[in-house]
Amino acid sequence: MRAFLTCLPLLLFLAHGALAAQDGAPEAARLWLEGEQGSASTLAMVTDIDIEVTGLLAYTLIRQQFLNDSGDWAEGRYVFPLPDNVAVESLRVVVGDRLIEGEIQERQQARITYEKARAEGRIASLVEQERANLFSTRIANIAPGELVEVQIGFRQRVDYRHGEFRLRFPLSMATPYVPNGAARDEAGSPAGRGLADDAEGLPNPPRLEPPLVGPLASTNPVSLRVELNAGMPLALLESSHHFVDKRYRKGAWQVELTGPNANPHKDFELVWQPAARNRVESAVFMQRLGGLDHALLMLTPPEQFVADRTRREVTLIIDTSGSMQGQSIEQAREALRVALDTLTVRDRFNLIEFSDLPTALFGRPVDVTAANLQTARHFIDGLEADGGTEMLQPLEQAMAQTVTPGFLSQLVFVTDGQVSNTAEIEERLRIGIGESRLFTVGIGHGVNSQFLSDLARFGRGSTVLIADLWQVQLRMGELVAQLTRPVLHDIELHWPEDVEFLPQRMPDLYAGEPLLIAARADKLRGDLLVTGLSNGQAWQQVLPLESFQAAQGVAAFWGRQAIRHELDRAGHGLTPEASRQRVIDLAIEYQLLSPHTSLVAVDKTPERSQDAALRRQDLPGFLADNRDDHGTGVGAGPTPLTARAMPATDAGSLAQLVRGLLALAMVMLMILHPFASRQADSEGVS
Amino acid sequence: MIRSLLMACLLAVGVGQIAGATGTHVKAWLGQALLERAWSRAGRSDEPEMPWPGAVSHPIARIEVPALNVDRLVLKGAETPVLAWGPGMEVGPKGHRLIAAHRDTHFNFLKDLKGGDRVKLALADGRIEHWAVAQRSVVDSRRFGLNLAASGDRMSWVTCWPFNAIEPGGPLRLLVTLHRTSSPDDEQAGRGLEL
Repeated sequence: MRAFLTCLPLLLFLAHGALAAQDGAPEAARLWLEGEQGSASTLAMVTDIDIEVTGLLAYTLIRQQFLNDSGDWAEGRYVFPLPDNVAVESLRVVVGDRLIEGEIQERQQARITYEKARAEGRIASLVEQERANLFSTRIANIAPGELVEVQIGFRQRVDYRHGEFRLRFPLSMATPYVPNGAARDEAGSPAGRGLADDAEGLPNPPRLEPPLVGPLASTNPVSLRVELNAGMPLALLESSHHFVDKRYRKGAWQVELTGPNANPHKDFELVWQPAARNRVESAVFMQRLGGLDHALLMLTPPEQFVADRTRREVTLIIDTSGSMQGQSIEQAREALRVALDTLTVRDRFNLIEFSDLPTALFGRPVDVTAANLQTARHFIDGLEADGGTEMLQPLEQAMAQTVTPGFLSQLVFVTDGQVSNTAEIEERLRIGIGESRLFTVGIGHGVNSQFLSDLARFGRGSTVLIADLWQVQLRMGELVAQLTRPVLHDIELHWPEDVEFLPQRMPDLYAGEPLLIAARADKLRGDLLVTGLSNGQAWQQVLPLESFQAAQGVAAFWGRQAIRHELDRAGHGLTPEASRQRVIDLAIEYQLLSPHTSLVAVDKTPERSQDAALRRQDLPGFLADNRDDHGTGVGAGPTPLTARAMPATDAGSLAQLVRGLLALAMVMLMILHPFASRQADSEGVS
Repeated sequence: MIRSLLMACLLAVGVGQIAGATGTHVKAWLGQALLERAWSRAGRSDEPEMPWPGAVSHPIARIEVPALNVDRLVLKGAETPVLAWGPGMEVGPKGHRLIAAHRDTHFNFLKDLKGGDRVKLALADGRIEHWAVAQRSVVDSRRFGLNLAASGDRMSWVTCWPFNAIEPGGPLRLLVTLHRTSSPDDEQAGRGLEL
């Protein structure tokens, strides 16, 4: 039955491929094949997705099946999108009855390994991180008529916002991706791009370009299963766009797509909500790897939280340079008014405007009184945009303000971020920010959002972007929620041993977003003490490390955080070369894909596979003659395939025979048993 | 009392199972014997010759492997009811032939088949074709299907793998690929095919 199920989608899939080609529509989902006679997209594919969720970590295993029906020996190139921020952990290629395992190597090294394997006629596959959410797989030397299965395993984080956990998976990855519009021209040319490069002795295969998604008339064969171990009782579990079957078994939820033909135009999205809670919940997971203990601390905020006793000291900084003229300054004024409205009598505040020179409204943060607020509103109303942008001085001035003990210092920075000395500003901010939090508000369409989000990250705050006046209330609402409702701040972790932990500067816990802290040490035993301030009160929790939950993926999570940390440090007290080396070391240690590493899988039984490859090259393949029947040449159209499941070829007579003989043997034993025991009895008497 | 009942039950089960196993082999042998008659009359008329009233299929080819002293009549279709009586054959749009049979009866000889072994294929219309074994591979039926649209110069034989497995219904299949040769003694046939 299983064989039939996997075969059925293949058939549907192929039928669709033929249909699309007839209509002249974009090619259906197939792998791009580069053979000696040119390039053609004649690979079929079946996709099978398995996702395992533990707490906030998800491990996904994708299995994809390609069939080389081109009649040529070919190199395959497949491009697929993945969810954001994934860490690819494994790659396996199954060709026939052989298994090829992947390993992480430095990018250049991986390229060499791959080229070498390909030149020797061995099968190699290369996965590189082209962009954060786009991966390419290359499979060399696919024999004519050969089925190739590529398995890629990766980890990702589950999204948690506003009391809901959300797991997304782009089913569109099972839909066709044509590497480029040039594809058609390439077909029928003497050599495909990859092989042409090779012939000219150029070691670099072409870099992939963004894929084009064609409008699809049909559905795709894709099966998807999720095993959800939420670690808490759930109030809700549902799929947003697809029909699923749900079952609760052995402490975990099993969710499966109903039927093989899920709508590929919609991302698969699974949403779950914990049963209502009203306190900060902490969970710790641990994994031992490579002789080190890795820990992941997760603090989950309550869904509802009122921080009416948290005292804040808010400094609003506004950019009034010439670039803010017009719409922008109006949006900025409106944003400031919203921020001003969040203040209560327990807080303090100040206002700084800057263009060429900063001007502070008050010499130091003042109490929130009706008079002070009135002064501030007048000040805001009178703001006009003019002059240059000297961003460093107002920031330094704001950071230099002494923070009153017991207050949470927040800087709100409203700007379009149009400055050239971004690196210098980031550097000064890292050194001078101290205990203050920095929130950035990006104004207008030409905003330098990368710069603003970097600033907010270094300042342990967050960033919002406001493009139009009508967005002010909406976007500022998100920021205000963070400004006014820190659930837990000034968090400190007291570990029983010396540990490395990330992020190094402890962020705050806000309503609607759990906090993840990764740590690593030789040995983690004893109690972890977590302290902080919650609504003006001291808060603490003791977590016995002995009761850590063992979970897969904790070490990989540490690895990813460490890589990100090193990448952040590049150019800030660490030379790019040193940073690169550290990233490579980490990526290889934790077997993670990064900007400097690739995952390469090479057949690890070289002699045998080389023999096999040569032997098979002598033979016309399974489908060697399919091509010749198309007088029009390569790429003229897909070969219609008639796929069929393997027949059941077992009569089961052996099993029957064994069972029958077993039963008869037991009867024999039972017949013999009375004689044996009687004999024993008589011996006992005498 | 309970003891005799138990023994009776076990005896019944044992005899039943062995009878079933024997039955499978008797059916397999009987099928081939009965097909002989239908085969000798095949090709004379356009109507397929049914071997016996109510038969599920009819013979369309005969395979012979002289090296192993094997001679089998092949039925049309590779569905389970057909395979009880003999190997079943399906033909793709370009003439690619798929022959499947049970590992414990008609295709038991596949375990002794070697690369380069010659095969004679006789068709119902009287044509005789010569083939040679090109390749043997084990595949997982959960992952791999068969491509019937492959070229007619290739033939696929399929049976369950491994041959000595006790439990039936395993996922593995032995896939033997054969390739056409012009004559039984064609020297080119076995070139590079040894495994």
